[in-house]
Amino acid sequence: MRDILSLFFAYAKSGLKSRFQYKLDAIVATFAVFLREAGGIIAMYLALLKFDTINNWNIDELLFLFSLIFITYGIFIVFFMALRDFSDWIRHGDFDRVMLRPRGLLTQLVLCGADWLAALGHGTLGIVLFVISASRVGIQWNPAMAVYYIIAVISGVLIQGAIFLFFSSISFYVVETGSLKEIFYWNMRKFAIYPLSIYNRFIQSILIFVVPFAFVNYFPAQFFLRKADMAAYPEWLMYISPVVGVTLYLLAYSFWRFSLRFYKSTGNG
Amino acid sequence: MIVIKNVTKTFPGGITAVHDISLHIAKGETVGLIGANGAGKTTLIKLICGLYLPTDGYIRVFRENPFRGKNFGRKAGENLIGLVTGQVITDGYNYHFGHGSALLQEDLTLALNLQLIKSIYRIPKEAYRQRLAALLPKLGLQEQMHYRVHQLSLGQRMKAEVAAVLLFQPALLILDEPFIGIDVAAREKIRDILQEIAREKETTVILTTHNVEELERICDRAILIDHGQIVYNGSFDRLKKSHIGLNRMQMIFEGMPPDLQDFPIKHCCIENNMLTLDYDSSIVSSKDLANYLLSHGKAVDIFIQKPTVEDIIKEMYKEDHHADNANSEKHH
Repeated sequence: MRDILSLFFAYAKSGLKSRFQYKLDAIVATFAVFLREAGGIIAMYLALLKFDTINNWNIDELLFLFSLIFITYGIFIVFFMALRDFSDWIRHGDFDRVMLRPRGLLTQLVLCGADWLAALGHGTLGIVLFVISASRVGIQWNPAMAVYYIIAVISGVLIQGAIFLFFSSISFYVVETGSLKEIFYWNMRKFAIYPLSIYNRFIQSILIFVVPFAFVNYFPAQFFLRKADMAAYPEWLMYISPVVGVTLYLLAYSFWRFSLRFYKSTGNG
Repeated sequence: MIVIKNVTKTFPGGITAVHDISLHIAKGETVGLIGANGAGKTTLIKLICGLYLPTDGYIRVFRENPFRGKNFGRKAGENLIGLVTGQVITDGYNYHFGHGSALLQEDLTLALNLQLIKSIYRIPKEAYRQRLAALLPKLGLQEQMHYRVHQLSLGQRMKAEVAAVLLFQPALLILDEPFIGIDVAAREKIRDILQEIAREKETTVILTTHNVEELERICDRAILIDHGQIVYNGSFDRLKKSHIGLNRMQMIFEGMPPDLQDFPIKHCCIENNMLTLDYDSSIVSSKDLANYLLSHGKAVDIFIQKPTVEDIIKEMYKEDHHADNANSEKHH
């Protein structure tokens, strides 16, 4: 464990040093991520002024819903960046180098890819949204809730990690997975910005059973907010939210282990 | 240490890059793998590293199958393979190392890169310090430690890759085309350090190249591959003696080229003012020939071409063909 931590710090140090060669660029890049994402939220905020609520969720409750997306994504890109872009690793032959090293393959991929500045951009936005919204939606925090919140965030990170671990495994069979990611991750993420209950049955089922973004933010948010639209779903979905991440990740990991045997280095020989 | 028996690798799409190769490399041996581009060198290397699954045949490296399916990846304390790829792709202004296996990250300084390798390979602090202190002066890299890797010249870059790979002391060191495009000084430094490793006989080394003469001083053995098959496997001396092929010297004169007297030239031709000579460099030295011509005629320009791998292979096939003919005549 100490060994893994020291490797993590070695990667973190080199990653940050490489980004901070151009200090101004690094700071601007962080802000750019922050502003790009915040811009989307401001646009939505302005639109909401017309409607007041979406399916009975007011703006503060919606911000609380988003904050989970941004906080989990901020942590996600610290650990799963290499898996997010894994098809590039395969195409450029970088995975060959990983395979020859005396370290676990996934250990290396998880530890080495961190995009700290983007993480800071997304994470800060998430925290800002959380701080603004959490105080205004009237959550009565107690230790159990705090624990639930932390586990839900970890689970949310693992769910997204699992999705990309799954895509990475598919890269062993077909090198290009860009459009799959576009459809099944980025589009689903856009859906997850709004409460699950506004969508038709089909999209809801996808968000619950296929790409379970509902467990990243909707069900955990319901645990705190208890909005009326939760009545449409079994109540236990709120409680299994933290388990979904671990389960999904283990499934994706098994698929990864299975798929590794199909890896073949690219190149013309 | 490396046992390869009847290995064939056919890629999806039907190209057979390695065809029924059998090969044995002992521990501590330094082997030169020679072949033209596309002969199958890199495929053979990737098979040895376990990055490709052979279509057919048997490979053992450190007594185990290098291709491990889902148990990919090496464990701590295992025999390590160090792979350096020197094939560079240039577009005139920029260069980048071929196919991802570069050990160094371009956007980091050399110092940080080496520290990262220290962490990844779990090199103890003291060992790291000692190895670095030995390697840097030998390769002449002390001043480059705080350069980012993309700021290094091609020669420095290759030296840095060699430093990185030697830092973790692999049991099997593979260098794929390490000399392409690098300056003479860097080439000398790398050659010296490789010679030293070859002498110590601790590390097994495989070097690939498409230029025979590069490896002569370093390697114990030459393996020539052509179209995915081994066409020669033996000492450099024998290779040179029997198959080295002819050098070609071309010289343009003002006026008539001088008389060649009794130089044992294999083939000679004069076209306008250009003299073309094909000669065996083990019989006639290029220096003597050039000196003679320059002192006896008014030369405008000179070109000397060494035999390429393709020439040598062509030459070998010719001889094989003669041998076959001779055999068949005997049977009759």
